[in-house]
Amino acid sequence: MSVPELTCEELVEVVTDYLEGGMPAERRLLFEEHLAFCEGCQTYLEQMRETIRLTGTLMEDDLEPSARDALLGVLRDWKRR
Amino acid sequence: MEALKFLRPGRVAPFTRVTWPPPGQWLAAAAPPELCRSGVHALLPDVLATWIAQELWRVELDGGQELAPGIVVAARGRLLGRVQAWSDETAREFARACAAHARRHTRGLAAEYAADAAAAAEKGVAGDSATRVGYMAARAAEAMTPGGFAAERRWQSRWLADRLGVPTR
Amino acid sequence: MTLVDRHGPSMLRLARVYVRDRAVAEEVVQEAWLGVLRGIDRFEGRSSLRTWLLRIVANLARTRAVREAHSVPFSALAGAEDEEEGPSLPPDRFRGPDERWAGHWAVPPEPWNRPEDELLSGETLALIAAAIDALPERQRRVITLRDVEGCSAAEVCNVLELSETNQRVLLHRARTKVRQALDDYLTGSQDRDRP
Repeated sequence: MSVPELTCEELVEVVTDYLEGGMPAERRLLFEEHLAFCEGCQTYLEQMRETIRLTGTLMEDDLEPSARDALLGVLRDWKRR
Repeated sequence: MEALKFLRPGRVAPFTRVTWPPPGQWLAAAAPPELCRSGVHALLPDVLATWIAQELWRVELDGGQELAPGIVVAARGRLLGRVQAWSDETAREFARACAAHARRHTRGLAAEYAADAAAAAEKGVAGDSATRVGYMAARAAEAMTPGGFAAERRWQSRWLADRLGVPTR
Repeated sequence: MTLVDRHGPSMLRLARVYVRDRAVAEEVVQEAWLGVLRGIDRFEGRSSLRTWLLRIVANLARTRAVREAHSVPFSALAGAEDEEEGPSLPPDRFRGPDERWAGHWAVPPEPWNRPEDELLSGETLALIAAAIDALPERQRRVITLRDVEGCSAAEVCNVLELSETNQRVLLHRARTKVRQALDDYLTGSQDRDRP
């Protein structure tokens, strides 16, 4: 294949590089040229973005009151040294 | 300079997913123009076929350098107006035209690719699918002759420019 | 005690990536805070305060995890790290090298097309949490800090003492698995009631 291009199989391996901005311009261009005609890869990339977005909404594991009090107790004791 | 831009429905840029402001309002990049990384990107008619999406817009760029074949990048740009002639129907016409042009390949792998392009064109869905037909037809051309892919894409872009009434370079 | 409130939850989450037991993780966080109080004059401002705190937790938790390891069932250790990972998706998802359109999708992904409230529901988020929990150690650490905590790549490399390349590879593997788990959940069930 004398035309440089990314296959879907290759794209799936470099999708994180793309999202991280870690690719040289020429490769980004190939990536986007492929995306432009490939619905499957558009879907895959979108799903990856969704995954990241949803992962980011996982609730804060707040310190439970008892753990927080225990921690503050330890710190108070330390201060009294 | 004036150029063209394909966007997803609602003026959404296909790769950055930034929503462009309504026509007339400038969109400025946060960082200096750099191919595929920052800056407002737009197309010259030579590469229309490669970047097809649902909406086609005329854009005005403030400055702008051609950083890759047919791709101009500037610090800011604004939409001027929709190219109304680009529609689902035109996309289907484009797909059929690509497939028909590929029928000239009658032997070997090129003919197989051309047949795939024809089958995809028959499915008759616009936007993304039209681009896929173009891609397949261009691969068919490459299977016939080295350099065929780029030449086919240029033919396809010229077809689009003519059909849409967009002046070529 | 705004420092504790602001950074405590992240510190606890990181500790739990190393030591699964919550009570042990809380002890690690306590030790970290004590260490901070003793050594606060050694924070030289070369990184952010948060990075510095997380790094202390990471070091303590790592040591503690090794100490706890003797009491952990072997089966839990066995899933620890899979350095030899294959491709992101099974090869049969793509056309083979001898086929036309080699490397293109044979079975393309199905768009999820789910309403927002379903994506943000307790069930979906619990699934993501479970998927993260099931990851090999190092992948779990990276995705927790990057995507759950929102740390930058540079911060994660600093806290976990990873090269940028390593960090990215681990992140890629982790996200690929979590996406697959979501995909299985959102598209796999044949018997779910669909209105």
